Amino acid sequence: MFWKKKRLEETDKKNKPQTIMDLFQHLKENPDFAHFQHQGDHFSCWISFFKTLVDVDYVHRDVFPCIYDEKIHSMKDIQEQLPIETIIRTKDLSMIQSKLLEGYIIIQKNEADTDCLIIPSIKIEGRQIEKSEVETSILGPKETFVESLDTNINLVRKRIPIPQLKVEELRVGKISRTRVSIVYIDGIANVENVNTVKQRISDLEVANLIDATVLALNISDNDNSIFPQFIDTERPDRVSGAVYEGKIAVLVDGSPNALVMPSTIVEFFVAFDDYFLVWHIASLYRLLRLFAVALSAFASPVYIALLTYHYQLIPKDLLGTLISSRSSVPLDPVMEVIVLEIMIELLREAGARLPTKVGQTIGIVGGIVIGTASVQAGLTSNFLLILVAMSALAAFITPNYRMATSIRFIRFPFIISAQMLGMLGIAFCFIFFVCHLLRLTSLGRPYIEPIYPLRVNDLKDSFIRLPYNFQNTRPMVLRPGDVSRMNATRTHKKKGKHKADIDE
Amino acid sequence: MKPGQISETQQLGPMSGFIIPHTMQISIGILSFQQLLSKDSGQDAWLACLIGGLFSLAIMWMILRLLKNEQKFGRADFFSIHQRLFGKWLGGLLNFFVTAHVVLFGVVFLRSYIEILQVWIFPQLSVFTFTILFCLIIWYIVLGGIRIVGGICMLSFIYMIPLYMSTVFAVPEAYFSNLLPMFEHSPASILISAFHTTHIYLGFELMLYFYPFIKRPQLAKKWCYFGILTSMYIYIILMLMATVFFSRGEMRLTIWPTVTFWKSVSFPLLEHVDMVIIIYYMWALLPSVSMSAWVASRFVKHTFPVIKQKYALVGVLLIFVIISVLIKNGEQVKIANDLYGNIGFFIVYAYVPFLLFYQWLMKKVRGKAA
Repeated sequence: MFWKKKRLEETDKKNKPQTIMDLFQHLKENPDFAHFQHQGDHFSCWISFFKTLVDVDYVHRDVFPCIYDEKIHSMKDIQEQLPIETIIRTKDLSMIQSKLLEGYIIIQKNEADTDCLIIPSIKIEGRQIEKSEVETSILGPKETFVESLDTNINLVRKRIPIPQLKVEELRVGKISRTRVSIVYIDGIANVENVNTVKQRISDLEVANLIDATVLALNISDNDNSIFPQFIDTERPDRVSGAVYEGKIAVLVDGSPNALVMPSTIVEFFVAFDDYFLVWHIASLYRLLRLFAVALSAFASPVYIALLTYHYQLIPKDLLGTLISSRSSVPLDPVMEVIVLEIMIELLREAGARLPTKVGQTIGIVGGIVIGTASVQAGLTSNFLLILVAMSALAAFITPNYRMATSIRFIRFPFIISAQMLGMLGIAFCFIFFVCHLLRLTSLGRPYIEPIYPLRVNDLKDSFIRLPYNFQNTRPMVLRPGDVSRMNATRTHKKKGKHKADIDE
Repeated sequence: MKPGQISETQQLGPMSGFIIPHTMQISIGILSFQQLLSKDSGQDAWLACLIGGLFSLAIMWMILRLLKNEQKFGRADFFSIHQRLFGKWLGGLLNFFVTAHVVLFGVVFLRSYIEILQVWIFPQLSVFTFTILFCLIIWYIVLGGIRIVGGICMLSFIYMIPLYMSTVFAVPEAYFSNLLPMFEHSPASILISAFHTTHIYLGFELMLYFYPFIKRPQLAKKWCYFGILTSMYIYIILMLMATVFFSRGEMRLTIWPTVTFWKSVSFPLLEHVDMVIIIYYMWALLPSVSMSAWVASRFVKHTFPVIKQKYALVGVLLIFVIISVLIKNGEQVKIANDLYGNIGFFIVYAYVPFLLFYQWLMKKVRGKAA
């Protein structure tokens, strides 16, 4: 439209500094910008930096004494004498500007000279590495990523101490120019996958990039899908495990989450703890999670369908319980379910937004008081309360938070279709979701991979986890550069366990 | 890439040679075929299943042979074979007829399923509403391409396994003496029953349409035979189950023996398993209907290359809806089923062998000319 076009044309073109003096003029308005002339006996220069961005201690202790030293006579001397490994000498104005705003020190001979020395002295402010809070685990490492990219790369690199570990850096965001790192093992990760990731990230047109999850939403294969297509995790051990497998990790500066790509749907139901347990127990937990997802999606819709259309399906013994618990409820099954589901949804959202201590209180108040009160008030039946509470619990058994919210959401289409067509509606809804999952891809790789396309070999680490000596090939879906993880025959040999026969 | 060749990202694995023909065969017929078969050959009807299966194996061999011979002339599917052997116009006409049969295949199954739904679950279910909803899902599937259709077949195969397992529940109540005396019926009556099995075995001839989409056809060959053998095994088991579960008199009166059998199954927290299974059975229907829509839309694209397949698909689905609505009652469903079976019998057992012969003949004639 007219006005929109006009608005778009009104962008400020004059504001861009043309010379270095313009730049300084512009920045001097900021109280934290230090710009002064050093007047020495042998040498004088202009020094400029942001007090809030540089490490002031370091500058005073290590940089200034050296510059003020009497051995220094020229800019070239500084470059040679200063005990810092990377000092850049440049005339590029845009580089000077961006470095200044990242926390570098700029040194010039005269104020108007474009010839500058750029000295790194970045102050890293951020929280300490803490215990995991979102993806908690009982066994295994507890470290989590923090908001600093360099610390995060350090956490990954120390788990993968090989020269083949590649860390490539890209800049994303028209204004923010946020650092984004792509981490993979050269030779194991599929080249095509790496190129796809690089291309998608570098083609990305955004103004700024706040978090890794935003990146995940922007580069996902299908933007309209409610299912997350890349795993986001805060655990460095999970990331390095995935990188060893041949996946690609993407880290964003300022984000405590790493993205792991490509991912299949089964991986969203894998907790990293599973690898620290015996395989039978780990497999059982995985199956439990799968059952939980089914329960969470189907419990209340099936209740509606049975009570509205298919009361023949309810056995005689159960009928008595149902009637006695529903006799005082004036609402239709569907209204009853919607009321209760929304109540639980409110509790969840309130619990997530409130400070921890208040949140707990709200949980107790909401869970117990509203729950029992709504039954006594005759708003819902006891039976449904149990179903809904159980399915809410079951939804959050999913280890990945984004997947858990998707699973929470899925039930609403099911509830509506159950009301419209009964079990037939549930079946339609189910088929729709399955078709949607069939069509989804993650980085061009099929999303429900071990099932379709059927790869029997990849089933070893999906719904069940077989023992480690069966895990000697990397997942086929990744098309890894090096397929075998370890020697297949040697993994089956156990040291000191050569038994030819009983008692021999 | 040569023109007309299919990119590898759109192709199916060799295993689909097993999955797709098998799931095409397994559809609505499974619920009712026992009554039809036992009409002529009573307790020996399982023999008819066996004979029908073996015959379809032979036809499968012919189909694969036909397609393999065709491979050196370009794309090896039914449409291209017709146009190569019979020229553009006659070939196009033949293509239209075979596609019409495929459309009938989809519609008959869809309509029969609605019939079952109306009888067993929702007597008031509107045919129009159901077909519209179903076709929307089919549209969503086929829009994803042959790979997604293949995926639906795969999932359908997995989901159907528990249903076959459910025949175990018949064992405690089975009268195995119902099977005796064996081989009582004359070969002629068994052959008549074997003719009736065409309806349940049809579907594997769709191989003629999606063959070029299989990645390594040589590897798929053994899977194709294995797929038909699996269907044959399932049909024989179900036939035996019905024979030992129902008495001769009951069988004559039961239209859907498999569903009636499920009705007798009950679980502690669930009664009327038949209703759950009928709804669950939608999964057996999906592959057939979506493949039929895929083939029909492909025909439009092949004949009129101007029309994109995605637009043709909408038209095809509209035809599905219209025909389904036009079929009014159970009687007409039965007529449509018979029509589908008889035309299918002709196509599979007469036309395919003829085509193989004609192809060989043309090779001789044109080979000498060249």
